[in-house]
Amino acid sequence: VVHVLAFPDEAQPPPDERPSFNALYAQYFEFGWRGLRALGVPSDRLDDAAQEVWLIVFRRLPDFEGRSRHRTWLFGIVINVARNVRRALRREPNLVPLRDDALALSLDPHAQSERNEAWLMVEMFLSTLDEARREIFVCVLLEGMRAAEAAEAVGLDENTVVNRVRALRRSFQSWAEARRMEP
Amino acid sequence: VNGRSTLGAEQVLEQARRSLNPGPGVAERVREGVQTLLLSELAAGSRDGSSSPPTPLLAPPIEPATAARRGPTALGNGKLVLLGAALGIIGFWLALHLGQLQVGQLQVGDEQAPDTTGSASTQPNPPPSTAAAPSSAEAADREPPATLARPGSVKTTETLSSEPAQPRRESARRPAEIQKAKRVAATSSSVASVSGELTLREVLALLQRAEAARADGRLGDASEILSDIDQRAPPALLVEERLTAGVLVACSMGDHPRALRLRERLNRENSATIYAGRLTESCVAAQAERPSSTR
Repeated sequence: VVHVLAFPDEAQPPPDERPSFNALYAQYFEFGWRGLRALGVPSDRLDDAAQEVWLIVFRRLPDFEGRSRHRTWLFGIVINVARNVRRALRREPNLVPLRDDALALSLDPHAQSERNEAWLMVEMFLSTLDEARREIFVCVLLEGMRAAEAAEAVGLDENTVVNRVRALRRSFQSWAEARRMEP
Repeated sequence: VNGRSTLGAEQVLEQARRSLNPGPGVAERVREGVQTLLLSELAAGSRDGSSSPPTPLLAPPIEPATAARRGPTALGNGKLVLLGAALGIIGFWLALHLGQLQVGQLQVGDEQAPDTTGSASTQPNPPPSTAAAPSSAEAADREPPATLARPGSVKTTETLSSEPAQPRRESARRPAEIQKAKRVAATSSSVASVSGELTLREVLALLQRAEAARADGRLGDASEILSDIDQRAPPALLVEERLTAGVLVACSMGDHPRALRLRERLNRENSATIYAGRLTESCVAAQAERPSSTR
Protein backbone atom coordinates (compact mmCIF):
# COMPACT_ATOMS: atom_id res chain seq x y z
CA VAL A 1 0.00 0.00 0.00
CA VAL A 2 2.68 2.42 0.98
CA HIS A 3 4.65 1.70 -2.13
CA VAL A 4 1.77 2.52 -4.42
CA LEU A 5 0.76 5.60 -2.49
CA ALA A 6 4.15 7.10 -2.86
CA PHE A 7 5.24 8.41 -6.19
CA PRO A 8 8.36 6.74 -7.54
CA ASP A 9 10.90 9.05 -6.07
CA GLU A 10 9.49 8.66 -2.60
CA ALA A 11 9.33 4.91 -2.86
CA GLN A 12 12.91 4.46 -3.87
CA PRO A 13 15.57 6.69 -5.30
CA PRO A 14 15.57 6.48 -9.07
CA PRO A 15 18.52 4.68 -10.61
CA ASP A 16 20.92 6.41 -12.96
CA GLU A 17 19.59 9.64 -14.46
CA ARG A 18 15.96 8.76 -14.65
CA PRO A 19 14.04 11.71 -13.24
CA SER A 20 11.39 11.27 -10.65
CA PHE A 21 7.73 11.78 -11.29
CA ASN A 22 7.78 14.83 -9.07
CA ALA A 23 10.70 16.33 -10.93
CA LEU A 24 8.98 15.81 -14.25
CA TYR A 25 5.75 17.19 -12.88
CA ALA A 26 7.45 20.30 -11.57
CA GLN A 27 9.36 20.85 -14.78
CA TYR A 28 6.72 20.04 -17.36
CA PHE A 29 3.30 20.58 -15.86
CA GLU A 30 2.89 23.96 -17.52
CA PHE A 31 4.20 22.60 -20.78
CA GLY A 32 1.67 19.77 -20.76
CA TRP A 33 -1.14 22.09 -19.75
CA ARG A 34 -0.35 24.51 -22.53
CA GLY A 35 -0.18 21.65 -24.99
CA LEU A 36 -3.60 20.37 -24.00
CA ARG A 37 -5.14 23.82 -24.34
CA ALA A 38 -3.47 24.56 -27.62
CA LEU A 39 -4.54 21.20 -29.00
CA GLY A 40 -8.15 22.10 -28.43
CA VAL A 41 -9.04 20.64 -25.05
CA PRO A 42 -11.75 22.96 -23.73
CA SER A 43 -11.34 24.54 -20.35
CA ASP A 44 -13.96 22.41 -18.67
CA ARG A 45 -12.07 19.25 -19.65
CA LEU A 46 -8.59 20.47 -18.88
CA ASP A 47 -8.34 19.19 -15.34
CA ASP A 48 -9.40 15.71 -16.35
CA ALA A 49 -7.18 15.70 -19.39
CA ALA A 50 -4.19 16.85 -17.35
CA GLN A 51 -4.89 14.18 -14.76
CA GLU A 52 -5.05 11.64 -17.54
CA VAL A 53 -1.70 12.76 -18.89
CA TRP A 54 0.02 12.57 -15.54
CA LEU A 55 -1.53 9.27 -14.63
CA ILE A 56 -0.07 7.87 -17.81
CA VAL A 57 3.28 9.45 -17.05
CA PHE A 58 3.17 7.96 -13.58
CA ARG A 59 2.44 4.51 -14.90
CA ARG A 60 4.82 4.54 -17.81
CA LEU A 61 7.74 6.30 -16.26
CA PRO A 62 9.32 3.08 -14.98
CA ASP A 63 9.33 1.78 -18.57
CA PHE A 64 10.68 4.95 -20.09
CA GLU A 65 13.89 3.94 -21.81
CA GLY A 66 15.32 7.36 -22.41
CA ARG A 67 15.48 6.99 -26.18
CA SER A 68 13.78 10.34 -26.58
CA ARG A 69 13.72 13.48 -24.52
CA HIS A 70 11.21 13.60 -21.71
CA ARG A 71 9.56 16.60 -23.27
CA THR A 72 9.04 14.72 -26.52
CA TRP A 73 7.76 11.66 -24.73
CA LEU A 74 5.40 13.76 -22.66
CA PHE A 75 4.13 15.64 -25.66
CA GLY A 76 3.31 12.35 -27.36
CA ILE A 77 1.11 11.53 -24.38
CA VAL A 78 -0.44 15.00 -24.46
CA ILE A 79 -1.26 14.59 -28.13
CA ASN A 80 -2.96 11.25 -27.56
CA VAL A 81 -5.03 12.49 -24.64
CA ALA A 82 -6.03 15.62 -26.55
CA ARG A 83 -7.05 13.51 -29.55
CA ASN A 84 -9.25 11.38 -27.33
CA VAL A 85 -10.87 14.42 -25.77
CA ARG A 86 -11.48 15.97 -29.16
CA ARG A 87 -12.94 12.71 -30.42
CA ALA A 88 -15.29 12.65 -27.45
CA LEU A 89 -16.21 16.27 -28.11
CA ARG A 90 -17.18 15.45 -31.66
CA ARG A 91 -19.68 13.02 -30.21
CA GLU A 92 -21.00 15.73 -27.89
CA PRO A 93 -20.62 18.88 -29.97
CA ASN A 94 -22.91 20.99 -27.85
CA LEU A 95 -20.46 20.77 -24.98
CA VAL A 96 -18.07 23.24 -26.56
CA PRO A 97 -17.48 25.72 -23.75
CA LEU A 98 -18.31 29.33 -24.22
CA ARG A 99 -15.97 30.90 -21.78
CA ASP A 100 -12.47 30.03 -20.93
CA ASP A 101 -12.03 30.85 -17.29
CA ALA A 102 -8.40 29.98 -17.50
CA LEU A 103 -7.94 33.16 -19.48
CA ALA A 104 -9.03 35.23 -16.55
CA LEU A 105 -5.72 35.12 -14.75
CA SER A 106 -4.19 37.77 -12.64
CA LEU A 107 -1.64 40.14 -14.19
CA ASP A 108 -2.16 43.68 -15.13
CA PRO A 109 -5.27 43.95 -17.24
CA HIS A 110 -3.56 45.38 -20.27
CA ALA A 111 -0.96 42.64 -20.46
CA GLN A 112 -3.58 39.98 -19.86
CA SER A 113 -5.83 41.46 -22.48
CA GLU A 114 -3.00 41.51 -25.01
CA ARG A 115 -2.18 37.89 -24.26
CA ASN A 116 -5.78 36.84 -24.50
CA GLU A 117 -6.15 38.58 -27.83
CA ALA A 118 -3.00 36.93 -29.07
CA TRP A 119 -4.29 33.52 -28.06
CA LEU A 120 -7.65 34.24 -29.61
CA MET A 121 -5.91 35.03 -32.85
CA VAL A 122 -3.81 31.87 -32.70
CA GLU A 123 -6.85 29.84 -31.72
CA MET A 124 -8.74 31.10 -34.74
CA PHE A 125 -5.87 30.15 -36.97
CA LEU A 126 -5.58 26.73 -35.34
CA SER A 127 -9.26 26.12 -35.94
CA THR A 128 -8.58 26.31 -39.67
CA LEU A 129 -6.04 23.47 -39.52
CA ASP A 130 -6.49 19.75 -39.58
CA GLU A 131 -5.43 17.75 -36.56
CA ALA A 132 -1.95 16.80 -37.77
CA ARG A 133 -1.04 20.34 -38.79
CA ARG A 134 -2.41 21.72 -35.58
CA GLU A 135 -0.18 19.37 -33.60
CA ILE A 136 2.87 20.40 -35.59
CA PHE A 137 2.02 24.06 -35.18
CA VAL A 138 1.72 23.68 -31.42
CA CYS A 139 4.90 21.63 -31.13
CA VAL A 140 7.17 23.77 -33.21
CA LEU A 141 5.76 27.25 -33.61
CA LEU A 142 4.12 27.63 -30.25
CA GLU A 143 6.33 25.53 -27.99
CA GLY A 144 9.57 25.92 -29.89
CA MET A 145 10.35 22.22 -30.20
CA ARG A 146 12.79 21.13 -32.86
CA ALA A 147 11.42 19.52 -36.00
CA ALA A 148 12.96 16.18 -35.07
CA GLU A 149 11.27 16.24 -31.68
CA ALA A 150 7.96 17.23 -33.21
CA ALA A 151 8.28 14.46 -35.79
CA GLU A 152 8.73 11.91 -33.06
CA ALA A 153 5.90 13.25 -30.93
CA VAL A 154 3.47 13.50 -33.82
CA GLY A 155 4.54 10.31 -35.55
CA LEU A 156 5.64 11.76 -38.89
CA ASP A 157 8.99 11.83 -40.61
CA GLU A 158 11.18 14.82 -40.08
CA ASN A 159 11.12 16.07 -43.67
CA THR A 160 7.35 16.20 -43.67
CA VAL A 161 7.40 18.15 -40.45
CA VAL A 162 10.00 20.59 -41.77
CA ASN A 163 7.97 21.23 -44.90
CA ARG A 164 4.75 21.65 -43.00
CA VAL A 165 6.35 23.98 -40.49
CA ARG A 166 7.59 26.16 -43.31
CA ALA A 167 4.14 26.30 -44.87
CA LEU A 168 2.45 26.85 -41.53
CA ARG A 169 4.77 29.68 -40.63
CA ARG A 170 4.07 31.39 -43.95
CA SER A 171 0.33 30.91 -43.60
CA PHE A 172 0.27 32.18 -40.07
CA GLN A 173 2.31 35.24 -40.92
CA SER A 174 0.06 36.19 -43.80
CA TRP A 175 -2.99 35.37 -41.73
CA ALA A 176 -1.82 37.52 -38.84
CA GLU A 177 -0.96 40.28 -41.27
CA ALA A 178 -4.41 40.08 -42.82
CA ARG A 179 -5.97 40.31 -39.37
CA ARG A 180 -4.00 43.45 -38.67
CA MET A 181 -5.19 45.03 -41.88
CA GLU A 182 -8.82 44.25 -41.26
CA PRO A 183 -11.05 47.32 -40.81
CA VAL B 1 -7.38 40.85 -33.37
CA ASN B 2 -9.71 42.38 -35.92
CA GLY B 3 -7.63 45.44 -36.48
CA ARG B 4 -6.62 46.14 -32.92
CA SER B 5 -3.53 43.98 -32.67
CA THR B 6 -0.27 45.59 -33.64
CA LEU B 7 1.88 42.59 -32.79
CA GLY B 8 3.96 40.70 -35.32
CA ALA B 9 3.40 37.00 -35.88
CA GLU B 10 6.25 35.92 -33.62
CA GLN B 11 5.09 38.24 -30.85
CA VAL B 12 1.57 36.96 -31.20
CA LEU B 13 2.83 33.41 -30.76
CA GLU B 14 4.85 34.33 -27.71
CA GLN B 15 1.96 36.17 -26.09
CA ALA B 16 -0.41 33.34 -26.94
CA ARG B 17 1.94 30.83 -25.39
CA ARG B 18 2.04 32.84 -22.19
CA SER B 19 -1.70 33.14 -22.06
CA LEU B 20 -1.98 29.35 -22.07
CA ASN B 21 -0.09 28.92 -18.83
CA PRO B 22 -2.15 27.49 -15.99
CA GLY B 23 -3.34 29.77 -13.24
CA PRO B 24 -2.13 29.60 -9.67
CA GLY B 25 -3.08 26.46 -7.85
CA VAL B 26 -3.85 24.44 -10.96
CA ALA B 27 -0.78 22.24 -10.73
CA GLU B 28 -1.57 21.39 -7.14
CA ARG B 29 -5.19 20.73 -7.94
CA VAL B 30 -4.34 18.35 -10.76
CA ARG B 31 -1.73 16.64 -8.63
CA GLU B 32 -4.31 16.02 -5.95
CA GLY B 33 -6.66 14.66 -8.58
CA VAL B 34 -4.02 12.28 -9.87
CA GLN B 35 -3.29 11.09 -6.39
CA THR B 36 -6.95 10.60 -5.60
CA LEU B 37 -7.38 8.52 -8.72
CA LEU B 38 -4.41 6.41 -7.80
CA LEU B 39 -5.83 5.88 -4.35
CA SER B 40 -9.17 4.87 -5.81
CA GLU B 41 -7.50 2.38 -8.07
CA LEU B 42 -5.41 1.14 -5.22
CA ALA B 43 -8.55 0.48 -3.23
CA ALA B 44 -10.02 -1.39 -6.18
CA GLY B 45 -6.80 -3.29 -6.73
CA SER B 46 -6.49 -4.36 -3.13
CA ARG B 47 -10.02 -5.78 -3.25
CA ASP B 48 -8.97 -7.78 -6.27
CA GLY B 49 -5.80 -8.96 -4.59
CA SER B 50 -3.50 -6.98 -6.81
CA SER B 51 -1.62 -3.92 -5.67
CA SER B 52 -1.39 -2.17 -9.00
CA PRO B 53 -4.11 -2.72 -11.60
CA PRO B 54 -2.45 -2.59 -15.02
CA THR B 55 -5.12 -0.56 -16.77
CA PRO B 56 -3.99 0.68 -20.17
CA LEU B 57 -5.21 4.23 -20.46
CA LEU B 58 -4.52 5.13 -24.03
CA ALA B 59 -5.69 1.93 -25.66
CA PRO B 60 -9.44 2.56 -25.48
CA PRO B 61 -10.92 5.95 -26.32
CA ILE B 62 -11.22 7.99 -23.18
CA GLU B 63 -14.71 8.98 -22.22
CA PRO B 64 -15.17 12.65 -21.38
CA ALA B 65 -15.92 12.16 -17.74
CA THR B 66 -12.79 10.16 -17.27
CA ALA B 67 -12.00 10.92 -13.70
CA ALA B 68 -15.42 10.21 -12.29
CA ARG B 69 -16.22 7.25 -14.45
CA ARG B 70 -12.98 5.49 -13.92
CA GLY B 71 -13.67 5.31 -10.21
CA PRO B 72 -17.06 3.70 -9.75
CA THR B 73 -17.24 1.85 -13.04
CA ALA B 74 -13.84 0.32 -12.54
CA LEU B 75 -14.91 -0.96 -9.17
CA GLY B 76 -18.23 -2.39 -10.17
CA ASN B 77 -21.37 -2.06 -8.11
CA GLY B 78 -20.95 -5.13 -5.91
CA LYS B 79 -17.39 -4.35 -5.12
CA LEU B 80 -18.29 -0.77 -4.41
CA VAL B 81 -20.82 -1.82 -1.79
CA LEU B 82 -18.29 -4.10 -0.12
CA LEU B 83 -15.64 -1.45 -0.27
CA GLY B 84 -18.01 1.16 1.14
CA ALA B 85 -18.90 -1.08 4.06
CA ALA B 86 -15.27 -1.80 4.78
CA LEU B 87 -14.33 1.84 4.58
CA GLY B 88 -17.23 2.79 6.80
CA ILE B 89 -16.07 0.42 9.52
CA ILE B 90 -12.51 1.63 9.27
CA GLY B 91 -13.65 5.24 9.28
CA PHE B 92 -15.78 4.67 12.36
CA TRP B 93 -12.87 3.00 14.11
CA LEU B 94 -10.52 5.80 13.18
CA ALA B 95 -12.99 8.43 14.29
CA LEU B 96 -13.29 6.72 17.65
CA HIS B 97 -9.59 6.25 18.21
CA LEU B 98 -7.91 9.09 16.45
CA GLY B 99 -10.52 11.77 16.72
CA GLN B 100 -9.61 13.55 13.55
CA LEU B 101 -8.33 12.26 10.25
CA GLN B 102 -5.27 13.91 8.83
CA VAL B 103 -6.07 13.55 5.19
CA GLY B 104 -3.63 16.33 4.41
CA GLN B 105 -0.87 13.88 5.12
CA LEU B 106 -1.59 12.38 1.75
CA GLN B 107 0.16 15.32 0.15
CA VAL B 108 2.72 14.02 -2.28
CA GLY B 109 6.19 14.16 -0.93
CA ASP B 110 5.11 14.51 2.67
CA GLU B 111 3.44 11.22 3.40
CA GLN B 112 4.60 8.93 6.15
CA ALA B 113 3.90 5.29 5.73
CA PRO B 114 1.56 4.63 8.68
CA ASP B 115 -0.54 7.75 8.13
CA THR B 116 -0.73 7.21 4.41
CA THR B 117 -2.10 3.77 4.90
CA GLY B 118 -4.69 4.98 7.31
CA SER B 119 -5.74 7.87 5.20
CA ALA B 120 -5.92 5.78 2.10
CA SER B 121 -8.36 3.48 3.77
CA THR B 122 -10.66 6.34 4.50
CA GLN B 123 -11.42 7.03 0.86
CA PRO B 124 -15.18 6.76 0.92
CA ASN B 125 -15.84 7.28 -2.75
CA PRO B 126 -14.02 7.81 -5.97
CA PRO B 127 -13.53 11.43 -6.98
CA PRO B 128 -15.99 13.44 -8.96
CA SER B 129 -14.99 14.60 -12.36
CA THR B 130 -14.22 17.98 -13.69
CA ALA B 131 -15.06 16.55 -17.07
CA ALA B 132 -18.63 15.90 -16.10
CA ALA B 133 -19.32 19.26 -17.61
CA PRO B 134 -22.92 20.15 -18.28
CA SER B 135 -24.15 20.42 -21.78
CA SER B 136 -25.61 23.78 -22.69
CA ALA B 137 -29.08 22.35 -22.28
CA GLU B 138 -28.32 20.74 -18.97
CA ALA B 139 -26.70 23.88 -17.72
CA ALA B 140 -30.02 25.64 -17.94
CA ASP B 141 -31.50 23.18 -15.48
CA ARG B 142 -28.94 22.92 -12.80
CA GLU B 143 -25.84 24.24 -11.21
CA PRO B 144 -22.62 23.21 -12.89
CA PRO B 145 -20.89 20.30 -11.21
CA ALA B 146 -18.16 21.08 -8.76
CA THR B 147 -14.74 20.84 -10.24
CA LEU B 148 -12.30 18.51 -8.68
CA ALA B 149 -10.96 21.32 -6.63
CA ARG B 150 -11.17 25.00 -7.25
CA PRO B 151 -7.93 26.85 -6.68
CA GLY B 152 -7.29 27.25 -3.03
CA SER B 153 -10.63 25.91 -1.94
CA VAL B 154 -10.57 22.14 -1.64
CA LYS B 155 -7.79 20.32 -0.02
CA THR B 156 -9.01 17.03 1.34
CA THR B 157 -10.00 14.00 -0.56
CA GLU B 158 -13.07 13.70 1.65
CA THR B 159 -14.37 16.99 0.36
CA LEU B 160 -13.59 15.91 -3.16
CA SER B 161 -15.74 12.86 -2.79
CA SER B 162 -18.72 14.59 -1.33
CA GLU B 163 -20.18 15.91 -4.58
CA PRO B 164 -22.72 13.56 -6.12
CA ALA B 165 -23.00 13.07 -9.84
CA GLN B 166 -26.76 12.59 -9.68
CA PRO B 167 -27.98 15.23 -12.18
CA ARG B 168 -26.14 13.62 -15.05
CA ARG B 169 -28.09 10.41 -14.67
CA GLU B 170 -31.31 12.37 -14.64
CA SER B 171 -30.47 14.03 -17.92
CA ALA B 172 -29.61 10.71 -19.47
CA ARG B 173 -33.17 9.56 -18.92
CA ARG B 174 -34.69 12.47 -20.79
CA PRO B 175 -36.30 11.73 -24.12
CA ALA B 176 -34.05 12.34 -27.05
CA GLU B 177 -36.43 14.86 -28.56
CA ILE B 178 -36.33 17.10 -25.52
CA GLN B 179 -32.59 16.86 -25.43
CA LYS B 180 -32.35 17.84 -29.09
CA ALA B 181 -34.78 20.74 -28.79
CA LYS B 182 -33.00 22.07 -25.75
CA ARG B 183 -29.64 21.61 -27.40
CA VAL B 184 -30.58 23.68 -30.41
CA ALA B 185 -32.16 26.35 -28.24
CA ALA B 186 -29.22 26.42 -25.89
CA THR B 187 -26.76 26.58 -28.74
CA SER B 188 -27.81 30.10 -29.52
CA SER B 189 -29.19 31.44 -26.28
CA SER B 190 -26.28 30.38 -24.16
CA VAL B 191 -23.88 32.58 -26.07
CA ALA B 192 -25.97 35.71 -26.06
CA SER B 193 -24.05 38.60 -24.65
CA VAL B 194 -25.71 41.07 -22.38
CA SER B 195 -25.86 43.74 -25.08
CA GLY B 196 -27.50 41.35 -27.53
CA GLU B 197 -24.79 41.66 -30.17
CA LEU B 198 -22.42 38.76 -30.35
CA THR B 199 -18.81 39.33 -29.43
CA LEU B 200 -15.82 37.94 -31.24
CA ARG B 201 -15.42 35.09 -28.80
CA GLU B 202 -19.10 34.24 -28.97
CA VAL B 203 -19.07 34.20 -32.74
CA LEU B 204 -16.01 31.99 -32.64
CA ALA B 205 -17.70 29.61 -30.23
CA LEU B 206 -20.79 29.46 -32.43
CA LEU B 207 -18.70 28.85 -35.53
CA GLN B 208 -17.00 25.98 -33.77
CA ARG B 209 -20.37 24.57 -32.89
CA ALA B 210 -21.62 24.94 -36.41
CA GLU B 211 -18.52 23.15 -37.65
CA ALA B 212 -18.99 20.41 -35.07
CA ALA B 213 -22.66 20.07 -36.02
CA ARG B 214 -21.74 19.78 -39.69
CA ALA B 215 -19.09 17.18 -38.97
CA ASP B 216 -21.65 15.35 -36.89
CA GLY B 217 -24.17 15.33 -39.74
CA ARG B 218 -26.59 17.70 -37.96
CA LEU B 219 -26.82 19.99 -40.92
CA GLY B 220 -30.03 21.66 -39.79
CA ASP B 221 -28.41 22.66 -36.54
CA ALA B 222 -25.34 23.92 -38.35
CA SER B 223 -27.41 26.01 -40.73
CA GLU B 224 -29.49 27.40 -37.89
CA ILE B 225 -26.41 28.42 -35.94
CA LEU B 226 -24.94 30.19 -38.96
CA SER B 227 -28.21 32.06 -39.57
CA ASP B 228 -28.20 33.06 -35.95
CA ILE B 229 -24.70 34.45 -36.28
CA ASP B 230 -25.71 36.41 -39.36
CA GLN B 231 -28.62 37.97 -37.52
CA ARG B 232 -26.82 38.84 -34.32
CA ALA B 233 -23.18 39.44 -35.12
CA PRO B 234 -21.66 42.58 -36.62
CA PRO B 235 -21.54 42.01 -40.40
CA ALA B 236 -17.77 42.28 -40.74
CA LEU B 237 -16.90 40.09 -37.80
CA LEU B 238 -15.14 36.89 -38.92
CA VAL B 239 -16.92 37.23 -42.22
CA GLU B 240 -14.54 34.94 -44.09
CA GLU B 241 -14.89 32.24 -41.49
CA ARG B 242 -18.66 32.54 -41.56
CA LEU B 243 -18.85 32.40 -45.33
CA THR B 244 -16.52 29.41 -45.47
CA ALA B 245 -18.59 27.57 -42.92
CA GLY B 246 -21.71 28.53 -44.84
CA VAL B 247 -20.33 27.14 -48.09
CA LEU B 248 -19.43 23.85 -46.46
CA VAL B 249 -22.81 23.50 -44.79
CA ALA B 250 -24.67 24.38 -47.99
CA CYS B 251 -22.62 21.83 -49.89
CA SER B 252 -23.33 19.19 -47.28
CA MET B 253 -27.03 19.97 -47.56
CA GLY B 254 -26.89 19.67 -51.34
CA ASP B 255 -27.85 23.33 -51.74
CA HIS B 256 -25.44 24.05 -54.55
CA PRO B 257 -26.87 27.45 -55.59
CA ARG B 258 -26.54 28.77 -52.07
CA ALA B 259 -23.01 27.39 -51.80
CA LEU B 260 -22.16 29.20 -55.03
CA ARG B 261 -23.63 32.46 -53.81
CA LEU B 262 -21.69 32.27 -50.58
CA ARG B 263 -18.52 31.36 -52.42
CA GLU B 264 -18.97 34.39 -54.68
CA ARG B 265 -19.42 36.57 -51.63
CA LEU B 266 -16.27 35.11 -50.13
CA ASN B 267 -14.40 35.93 -53.32
CA ARG B 268 -15.67 39.48 -53.14
CA GLU B 269 -14.58 39.80 -49.52
CA ASN B 270 -11.14 38.38 -50.14
CA SER B 271 -10.24 36.50 -53.28
CA ALA B 272 -7.02 35.32 -51.66
CA THR B 273 -8.73 33.97 -48.58
CA ILE B 274 -6.70 31.44 -46.66
CA TYR B 275 -9.81 29.29 -46.52
CA ALA B 276 -9.65 28.58 -50.22
CA GLY B 277 -7.82 25.38 -49.38
CA ARG B 278 -10.70 24.17 -47.30
CA LEU B 279 -13.07 24.63 -50.20
CA THR B 280 -11.04 22.72 -52.74
CA GLU B 281 -12.91 19.54 -51.92
CA SER B 282 -16.30 21.19 -51.59
CA CYS B 283 -19.08 21.33 -54.15
CA VAL B 284 -17.78 24.72 -55.30
CA ALA B 285 -14.21 23.55 -55.78
CA ALA B 286 -13.97 25.05 -59.24
CA GLN B 287 -14.90 28.46 -57.93
CA ALA B 288 -12.50 28.05 -55.03
CA GLU B 289 -9.56 27.74 -57.35
CA ARG B 290 -10.08 30.91 -59.31
CA PRO B 291 -10.47 34.43 -57.99
CA SER B 292 -13.76 36.12 -58.46
CA SER B 293 -14.09 38.24 -61.57
CA THR B 294 -16.07 40.77 -59.60
CA ARG B 295 -13.07 41.82 -57.58
